[in-house]
Amino acid sequence: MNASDFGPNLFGEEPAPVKKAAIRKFNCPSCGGEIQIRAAGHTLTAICAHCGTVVDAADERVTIIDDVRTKLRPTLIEIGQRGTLEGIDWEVIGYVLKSDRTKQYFWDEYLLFNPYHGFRFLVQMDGHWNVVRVVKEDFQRMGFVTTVWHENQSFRPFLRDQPIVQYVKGEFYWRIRRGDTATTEDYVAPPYMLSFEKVPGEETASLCEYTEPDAVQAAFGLQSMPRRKGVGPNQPSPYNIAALMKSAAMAVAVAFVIHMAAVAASASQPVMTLNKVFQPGDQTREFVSEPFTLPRQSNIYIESSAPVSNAWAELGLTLVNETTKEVFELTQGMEFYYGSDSDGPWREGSPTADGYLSGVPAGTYRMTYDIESDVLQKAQPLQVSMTAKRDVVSWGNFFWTMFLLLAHPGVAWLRSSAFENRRWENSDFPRTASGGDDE
Amino acid sequence: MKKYPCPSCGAEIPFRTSVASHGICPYCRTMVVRDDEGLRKTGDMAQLPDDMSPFQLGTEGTFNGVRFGIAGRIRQNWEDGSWNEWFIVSDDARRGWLAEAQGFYAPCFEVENLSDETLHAIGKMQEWAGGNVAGGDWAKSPVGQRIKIEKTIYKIVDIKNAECVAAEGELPFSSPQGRKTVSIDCLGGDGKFASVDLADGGARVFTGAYVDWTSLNCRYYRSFEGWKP
Repeated sequence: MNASDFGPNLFGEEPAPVKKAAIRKFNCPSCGGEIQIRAAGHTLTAICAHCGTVVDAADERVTIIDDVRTKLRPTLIEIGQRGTLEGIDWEVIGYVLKSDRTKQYFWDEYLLFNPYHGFRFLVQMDGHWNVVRVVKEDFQRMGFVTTVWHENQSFRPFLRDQPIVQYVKGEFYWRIRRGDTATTEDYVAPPYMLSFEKVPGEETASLCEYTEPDAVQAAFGLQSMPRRKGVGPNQPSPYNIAALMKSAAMAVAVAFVIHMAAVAASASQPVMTLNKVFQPGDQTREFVSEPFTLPRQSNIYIESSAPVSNAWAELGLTLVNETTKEVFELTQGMEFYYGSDSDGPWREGSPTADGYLSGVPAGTYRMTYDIESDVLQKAQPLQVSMTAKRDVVSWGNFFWTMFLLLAHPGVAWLRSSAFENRRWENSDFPRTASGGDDE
Repeated sequence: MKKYPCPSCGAEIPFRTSVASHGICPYCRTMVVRDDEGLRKTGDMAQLPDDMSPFQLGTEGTFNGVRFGIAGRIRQNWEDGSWNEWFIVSDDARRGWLAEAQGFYAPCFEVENLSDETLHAIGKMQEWAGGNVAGGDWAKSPVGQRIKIEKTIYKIVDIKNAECVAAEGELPFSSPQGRKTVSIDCLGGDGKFASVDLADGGARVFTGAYVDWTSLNCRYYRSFEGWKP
């Protein structure tokens, strides 16, 4: 030890290290069997491992608190077992079986001890595990209706209960016996839960942290684990809905900006128009347009219309590259029917049609087109107009992009909502179907 | 460190600090008071029960950036258990206590020059407790009330009748076995802690915080077989 560490009050000496853990031993006043105290100096109550008698071990005069001898029950984790949680070694020194007031629900509370780090609880209910530590803080609480703040997190009221101690073994730093009750109020902010336990004259706040069963199993080397049922009060949702929604919103915004930039940059130039009255007596119904040029690879948007009325027309379009003879085909079907029946007037179809030819390379093209229609078959003329534009930005693509971007977050939102509903159905404040609240 | 011969057994009694007036011989457990002429016996002290505390005389730690050392200990008993009060001296010569109860550690230092407001509140507590909480009217108990100490508001969370069962090392006052204290624990936000001790007709106020083992950054602590810190 460096003397200069201590200013005017020099300690100047290294104390001799103490080697042995102080395990206190005494004989059970009921059965005479040996009782071992692992947390000497802390332990107030000990339960004889041989006969189940509860004794007051606060000082040398060991007295019986509860002499109802009980059979020692095996537990998933036994007294004396050690495990490492979050890098700290813990020894199980106590076990409490608790039930709710109605004795319908039971859960395990293991008291963990480390001489340096103090105490924790390891709590198991329905296969859900929590590591719990007592929190020394002056909490501001207004009844059991509003949220409580702790370390910049808002905890929502979840459940009020009156747990009952059903069975104890091991040792405890407080006085405990079967039948002890308290009032508890739990608030959740997954993966955390704040639990306030009130007994006359004292209130204890505890912070519970949800711990994956795998971590507990590995820590204590357990063979089998209770199956996880339902959703734990503070079980973290596997759906990080806030982050997912945020990234989806970002993606939609980016897609929108890209789309609008494409709209602004696109030429949307007409390359060919057609306005022709077809006669039933035409020699041929196949025609070829004048050549036109695509200066660069682009899409071609084609929009056609024919004044069909309870009739149909089909415009077959074939775009042929003058040099390479590459062919692009598109059919524009127009049919429009209307009438009236017992349900009143109806209409179906449209006298217009549109569509895209995508990725048409630069070059000179001619459009070959042919027409079929029941109007011509009925020996009547038919006027057809058509416009072809290059470099047209497709809104359809945009909406498909939107759909693809939002499908996953949408499904995740529904699943997350279902998960939250399962969590809150065990609460004093179940969520109504419409009352979805997504953190 | 100064060493004085024990007036009872002759063994050397170390005094690590200059601020402690009382001590206990580590060999024969004679209680001594230190004055200009050396040590004078004042009584006998009981043996401390062995416990699993990680602290011992000479352990150093850090609190709020201030280095402190442990010079003595009082073990206090109350109705529902017992706890350790470790007498600490900081390297800037302040005196304080490291309270150790139920695996919680709260280092705190004495508040000198209490404000009138705090003195008034303490006066009311003294009046209520009258040196013994058992005599207080619990309907008028200050538990749950708030008290302002040094600009911080605390909630009074618990009031205990404590009794010294044993002590070791050096202490700033005489703490024979059976010395009675009314110990008032107060909690603030963010783990702030204050303690008001009513004893020997006076009151002392300490402020500090609950801290965990890691943040104390201790040296020369106890080591236990099979446990690593």
